[in-house]
Amino acid sequence: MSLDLTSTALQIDSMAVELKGRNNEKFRRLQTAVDAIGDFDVDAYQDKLEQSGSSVLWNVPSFTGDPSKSYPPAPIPEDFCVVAVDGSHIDIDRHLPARCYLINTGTVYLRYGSQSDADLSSQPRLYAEEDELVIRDHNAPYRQQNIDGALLGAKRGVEEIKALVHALHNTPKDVPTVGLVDGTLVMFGLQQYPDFVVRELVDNGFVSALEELRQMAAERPLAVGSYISLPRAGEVANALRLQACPFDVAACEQNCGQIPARERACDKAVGGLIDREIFSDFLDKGHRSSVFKSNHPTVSRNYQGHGIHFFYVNTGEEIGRVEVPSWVAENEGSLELVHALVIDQCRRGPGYPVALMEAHEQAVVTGVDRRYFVELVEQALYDQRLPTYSSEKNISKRQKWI
Amino acid sequence: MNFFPDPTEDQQDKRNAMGGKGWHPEDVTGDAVRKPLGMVVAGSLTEGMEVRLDGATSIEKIKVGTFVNIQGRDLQFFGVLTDVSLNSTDPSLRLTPPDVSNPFIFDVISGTTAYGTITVEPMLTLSNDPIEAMDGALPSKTIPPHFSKVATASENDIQKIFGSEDDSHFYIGTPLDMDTKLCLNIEEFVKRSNGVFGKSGTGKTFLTRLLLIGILQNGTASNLVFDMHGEYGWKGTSEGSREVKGLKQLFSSKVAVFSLDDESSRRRGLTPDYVVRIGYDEIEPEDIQVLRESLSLSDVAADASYSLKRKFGKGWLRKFLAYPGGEEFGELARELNVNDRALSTLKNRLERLQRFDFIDESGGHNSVNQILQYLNRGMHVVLEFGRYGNHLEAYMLVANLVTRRIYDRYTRLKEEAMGDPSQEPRPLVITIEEAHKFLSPSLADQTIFGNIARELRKYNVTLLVVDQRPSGIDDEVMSQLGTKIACLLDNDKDTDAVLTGVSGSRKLRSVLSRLESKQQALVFGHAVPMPVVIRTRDYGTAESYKELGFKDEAELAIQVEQDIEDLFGPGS
Amino acid sequence: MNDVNGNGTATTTRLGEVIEGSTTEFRTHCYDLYAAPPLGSLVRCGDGDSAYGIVCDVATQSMDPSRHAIPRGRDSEDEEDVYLSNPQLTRLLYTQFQAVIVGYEDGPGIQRYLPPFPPRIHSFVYDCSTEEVRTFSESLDFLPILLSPSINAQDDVIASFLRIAGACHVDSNVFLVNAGKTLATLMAGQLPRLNNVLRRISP
Repeated sequence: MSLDLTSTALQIDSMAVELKGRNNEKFRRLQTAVDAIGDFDVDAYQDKLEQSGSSVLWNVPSFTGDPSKSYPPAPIPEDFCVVAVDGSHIDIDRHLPARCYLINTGTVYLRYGSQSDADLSSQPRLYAEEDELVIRDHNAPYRQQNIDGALLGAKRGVEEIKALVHALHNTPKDVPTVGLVDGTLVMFGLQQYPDFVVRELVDNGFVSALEELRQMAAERPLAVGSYISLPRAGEVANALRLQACPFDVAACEQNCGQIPARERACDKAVGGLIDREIFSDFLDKGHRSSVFKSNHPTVSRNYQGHGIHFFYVNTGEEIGRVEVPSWVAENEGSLELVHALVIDQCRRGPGYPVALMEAHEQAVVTGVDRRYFVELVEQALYDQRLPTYSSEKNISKRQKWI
Repeated sequence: MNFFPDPTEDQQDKRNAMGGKGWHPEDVTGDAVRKPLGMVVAGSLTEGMEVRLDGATSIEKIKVGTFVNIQGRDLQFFGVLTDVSLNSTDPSLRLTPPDVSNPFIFDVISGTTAYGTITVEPMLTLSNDPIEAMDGALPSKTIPPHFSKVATASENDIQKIFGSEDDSHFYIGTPLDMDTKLCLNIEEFVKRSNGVFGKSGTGKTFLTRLLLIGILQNGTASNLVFDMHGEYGWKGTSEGSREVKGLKQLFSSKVAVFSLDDESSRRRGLTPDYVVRIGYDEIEPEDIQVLRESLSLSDVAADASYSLKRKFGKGWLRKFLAYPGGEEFGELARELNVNDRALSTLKNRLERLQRFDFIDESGGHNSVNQILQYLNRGMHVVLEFGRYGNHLEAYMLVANLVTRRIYDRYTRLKEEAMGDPSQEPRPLVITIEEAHKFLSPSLADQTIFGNIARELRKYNVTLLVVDQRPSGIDDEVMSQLGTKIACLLDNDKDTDAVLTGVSGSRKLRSVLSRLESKQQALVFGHAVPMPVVIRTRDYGTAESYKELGFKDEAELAIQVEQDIEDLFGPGS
Repeated sequence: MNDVNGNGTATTTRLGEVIEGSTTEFRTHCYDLYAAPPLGSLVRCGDGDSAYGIVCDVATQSMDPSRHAIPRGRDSEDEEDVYLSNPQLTRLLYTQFQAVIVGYEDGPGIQRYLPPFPPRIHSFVYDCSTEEVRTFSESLDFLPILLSPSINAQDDVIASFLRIAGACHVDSNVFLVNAGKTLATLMAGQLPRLNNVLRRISP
């Protein structure tokens, strides 16, 4: 039987009622937050942040300017390029007779202006060799970690940025170019894994690609960034919590460890808010917020000096989040280029950067594709006279008996 | 379409061996002018061939009566176009006609979706094999296969079938829409009695005049023409009152004009060779029989003339007319066993003959002998009636009387010759007009003309019947006519009468009934291999006279000089 | 392979490649967006034992059947500007055409009926030169193929082909009248339809 929609609908209704009640309370808090941003004392905040150090449990950013300020986009250059990558993958399927996974990266090169041009491509890569299916600790080769699930997601992020590097190598060097990836530049969620995994993926993977980009950017008008649509990040809101904290030193565990969530002073002031809700009040269409610097521990620990900065933009359709490496954020021209082109891309999208959308279309692996993939694998194994058993569950999924 | 291979040396030789005359199968020069019409798509020997017209052929240019050639595989067929019709492959054509105001669409549709068909009656076949073809054209006993190509006959075809103009082939006209001379086999023509039919004004007289000239030029037979309205001997008139030359003018040395009415002849500038007189004694009861209708005599009254002849003998008519009335007349009636009143009616009517000045009391006139003498000399005699031409009784009486006596003489001469051709009398063609008066069903078995028509050429005398009401002529006589030349006729009865006994008459009927009212005629019978529509040859222009062999005085003078030169050498 | 610009095929252009083929028709993916030959054009596919086809359907569509084009020119001055501002469009859209096979090269001669084998996928497809069209249309024996009901808008295809072929003949009118007559025979009993086609090819 499929989902019992009648019962579900009733529950959805009560959820909507409850949400409405929460919304009124939230609206009040949002006003508080907006007022707070307006009167934000950056210096006091920075002092408190330094004093509190690691005792602050919230992930709070550093401020580089007045958070209530809004910046219009710079005019876009006459000729420019946008290169975007995206990826998707087929995870290891334990029901399949062979252990393997596939990462498909889509790359889009769009050139605008007098020599308008486009190139759309995708690059699938199958990983099936023993060495490719695990990450090993070079110091202790017996230690290894299977690549699947969240780790495969991280691996895909690395492949994406590598694809961006590769693509940018092949684009004109003299035209202002922005490289875009989908999602965040922060490789979070790896804390639970052993060090050698993080080192392999972040230090040797993502960050080394970032370093290559930095070197390229030093020689040509190039900027890179990532775009997050409908961001759920609350870093700036967290900063407001810090400001709302009645204690001199925000030692969360120590001060409020016994108070339930939603009852703490900071909860009451700005709890439950996310950044884009706050900035939707400040940003005119096309404008960006001031730039914040992420203090995410992975960045500080593993990014080898590549800071990750972010700002919010009003694309006209939504408040989006743009993340850029510090060497972009600190170069006014590069920052302006990213801002202007992201807004332009969203305008052409419409609503979402067109290059990213096309990169996604190139990368996407549909359900049909997945089925073909399985068939191809089975056929290949069969051709090699290898056993092609499949789990009974897998078979039962494909053939729906009554 | 050239069915024959290019002439190789072999064939060249064969052609030479075959001599200059006759038809040569390799000789296809004439084929170049065959205009393609279409192809055979259906048909039967009885119904004729259905021919689908090519798109390129305009149906409006198709004429019934056109002489058509059909190329079979082994045979060439010749036939007459007898019907034209419109057809279409699509019945909705009537309801939703295509956009024919657009000339392109019109071009495309005509000949394809909408097309014309013609019906062709195959008449003759000619083998494609050069040796077999030497036998000449034969009547069609089969039909051409499907998809045989059909074209209008070429000049060459006409000559193949009808022969070229020569001593025995007389050029009588041209086929429809062609300039080729179409010839009548005049030798065949004179062997049988023939007829020229057509309603008044269609050119019967023209045709007859041409035929007479044809006979005259051919020379095998003599003409005796009972020229009712003075149209043949001396000047005649053509339609539109233009004067045309008569036989005497064209061939003065060969033609003698006899006249019943000297006065009228002289008025027209002609001195007749002989003025004909008829004696009462020469009139026989048979002559009275012929006049029965024109004198409105009952059978009884007419038959009484035989009794009178028996009673009075030679000179019966004179004696009867002089017979006193009253009691004596009644006695005569009783004696003859004839009704009193019938006899007196006979007397009354016969008295009318006295009005005719050419009849006189004196017996022993020599008119018939004179005619015979002229004829024996190879001359052609035209008997003009002058003012009596308007009196049918006079015409019939004289024609009958003269013919009877000439026929008697011929019969005797023929029998005396006992089959020795050199002793036989020269064949004679007697031309009569208003023939239906002589040859009506009630008279045909009694009059001399009926005899002649039925007896064919047994006694070397044949008729040339000129008439506008063929339906009035006895069927048997009609069927004995060898060659018929029919112009447009007045009504269906006449048309049917002309075509009685002809194969394919139903189809010829449509041809005949659609002839133009002038100068067109359908010719069929013994003198032509197949029925054919002709446009009668011109007559009446200086050029036409020249073509017919007439030389005016200036030319004659030159001819004389030429002859002298030929005889004695130049400069003598 | 034939040198497209070489002497061999003088004035023909390579249009694209076969992406689907049967003995009755083939589908060509054009190399360039909107670079399909006009409806009714004669095209040749393959080198050597070429098949001849007549373009019977031309379509421009999204590469991905699940994606649709949306309007993009509200702020553009002209259509060209739309394409300049959205360079990806030329990669997301493609033009293809369907050609119904009407004959094939059989050694030195041309047969005007279906070939024994379908064109191979990725065979090159060429536009036919005036000379080729004239030679091919010297006989119209293949017209019945064009009348088979499997072709969409076949009457327009026929009319377009005849117009194009007519222009390749010295006496275009004679050619068209003859072609019309052939059609009239083939379309016996369908007079209104015939009339429509004729009106379209009428000079």
